[in-house]
Amino acid sequence: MQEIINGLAVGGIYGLLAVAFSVVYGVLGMVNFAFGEIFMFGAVGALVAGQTNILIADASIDGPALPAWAAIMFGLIVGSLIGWLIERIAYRPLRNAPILSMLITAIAVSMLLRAVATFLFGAAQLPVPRPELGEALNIFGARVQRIDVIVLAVAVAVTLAFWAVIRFTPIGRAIRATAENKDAARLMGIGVDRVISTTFVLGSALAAVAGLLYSQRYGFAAATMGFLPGLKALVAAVLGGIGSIPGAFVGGLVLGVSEELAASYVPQGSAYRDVIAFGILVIILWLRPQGLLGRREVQKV
Amino acid sequence: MLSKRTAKLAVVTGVALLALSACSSGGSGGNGDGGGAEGAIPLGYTATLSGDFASYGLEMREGIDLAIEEINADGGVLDRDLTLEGVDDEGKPANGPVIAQEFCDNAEIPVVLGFSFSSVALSGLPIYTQCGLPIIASAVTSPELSGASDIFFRTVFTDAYQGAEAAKFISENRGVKKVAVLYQQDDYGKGVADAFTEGIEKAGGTVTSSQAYQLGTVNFASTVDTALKDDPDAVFIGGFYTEAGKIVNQVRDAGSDVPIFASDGAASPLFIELAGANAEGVEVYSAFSASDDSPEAAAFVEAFTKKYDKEPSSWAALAYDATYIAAQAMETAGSTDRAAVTKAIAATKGFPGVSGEISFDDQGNRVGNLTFQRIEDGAFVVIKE
Repeated sequence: MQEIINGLAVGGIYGLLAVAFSVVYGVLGMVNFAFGEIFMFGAVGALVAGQTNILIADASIDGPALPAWAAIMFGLIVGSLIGWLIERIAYRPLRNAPILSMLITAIAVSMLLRAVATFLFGAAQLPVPRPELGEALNIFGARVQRIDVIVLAVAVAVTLAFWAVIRFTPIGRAIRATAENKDAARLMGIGVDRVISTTFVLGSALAAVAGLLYSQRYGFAAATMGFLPGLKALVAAVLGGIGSIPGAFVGGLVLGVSEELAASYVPQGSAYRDVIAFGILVIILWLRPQGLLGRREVQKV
Repeated sequence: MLSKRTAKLAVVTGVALLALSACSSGGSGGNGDGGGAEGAIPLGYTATLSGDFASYGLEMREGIDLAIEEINADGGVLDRDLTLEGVDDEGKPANGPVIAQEFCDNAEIPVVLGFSFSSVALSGLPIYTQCGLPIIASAVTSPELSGASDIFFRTVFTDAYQGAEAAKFISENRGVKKVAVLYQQDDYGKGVADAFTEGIEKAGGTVTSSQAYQLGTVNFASTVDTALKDDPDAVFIGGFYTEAGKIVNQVRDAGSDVPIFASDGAASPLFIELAGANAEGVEVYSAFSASDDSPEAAAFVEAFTKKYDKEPSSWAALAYDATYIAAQAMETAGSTDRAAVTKAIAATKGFPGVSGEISFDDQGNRVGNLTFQRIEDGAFVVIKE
């Protein structure tokens, strides 16, 4: 019980990031590895915007010292902007290239962004002040951190909002149409490039929110912070059934919880938690290849 | 605590290297009038001075340069000046024997300092042993180097020695009986944790749980729950500040005010930044602390800060001590004969270094006291007990 609670917040963060992977995969059929770095830029952007003094590339400059809400908005905007830019500069020229070219480009973009961040902000972890929220709550004998409640609530709310946008708005319909069949969508008068751009901006905003939550929860931000969560979110997206929004989110929760269960119940599990958690996922995928909530893909001939 | 994995900092530019070599040749070669008839004594120095892992080598070099400058200003050794013959090993074990041969062939060199990586030291060691050229290393901690050769000494404490000393401190000075151990899953964390566990058990205490974790772990909630389940008197962390900071935060989040101790990987100002208010009262150790107010350490910190405009690291301090031990050994031996110098180094007893008293055991390992520190008001305060 306690382990499940311990894993839900980080699972929500994975889930949010997984939704970003999932929706871009849905539209473009490619994995945008750079979401891990957008996650990082969201967190680092908000941190830097809130400081009175910033160290950039070892040079000290005055920071804007924005209030917390504005700093968070800044992080979101930075993340979305980077998402928009990489789609525009790196992926759009490859629209008709083989999918492998895009994948390799995505890996390159991810490494480039990480290198840029290391250059700008250094390799060390930067402390993020953790919000003072008071003692943990006691719910049915289990200890629940207040920040975990907030993290999970934000993650669920943002995912629901995103799902609603996709489900009920005109742009959401356009995104779904593009995911279904790009050529048909274009024939129906949908500006496919604009739709893809929008998808990247929305997905990047999700990734940035996830990064913000992560840095607040664990009290740090760093150039390399996005790599592992990015990898795990990708796995969560596959686990939940890639292309499915609720599936991706649930996949994230399952991954977060299984890590904690592994750390707790397996001897020396804390050292091998990732191995065990990923092992569980392999078994689930073996039993359900389409993922937890995914639809079986029918290859039309 | 130095393994390849440790080194994550410092991208070193060619400019920095150039500046360093320029300043060292100016410092040692310039004042020839202090030396005697026979000219300067060249000390060998090899370490990794380029690439991602250069920071340790460069910091050691700063300590050595300062020591040589001071010794020469004070009349040199055997009325001769000291100079430094520095060679970059690039962190490659293959370069170890090549450099060893180079130093061995230069009959003028009485002693070699430095070494960033245990692997490089190990690869060159047979050649140094053959020509009887003594080494005083200051950053390599591998247990494989213990007693590996009669000519090998180190001013750095091994991980195992540090773990054992920490166990002694915690059980004797803090009266702790039951400890939960968390350690980083690598040579460093495991070396410290194993010796620590052994030390606690020898002192009659128990280790309630011992859990390893990977570098890069952030969520320790369940790991911490397991550690706290047996109601330990203390938690010991053998790892770097990045994870130690998160563990400390999450132990406090779990509502526990159990005392926390951590290894020298956490003895960094960055640890205090990451753990914030939760760092208060945490106790750590290291070989050297810039906030140590012993006369030797204080004088060193002042001179170092004046020369380099920054606080000295442990590596600078340990290399500085190694240089002084080499100088003292030559004075004691009365010559630069390698065998005589080796004998004098081995006989070093209670040398008052800036990192505390220095002696060597029969395996060439450093014996002495660690500097224990407690975090108070956001700063490391040296514990004197």
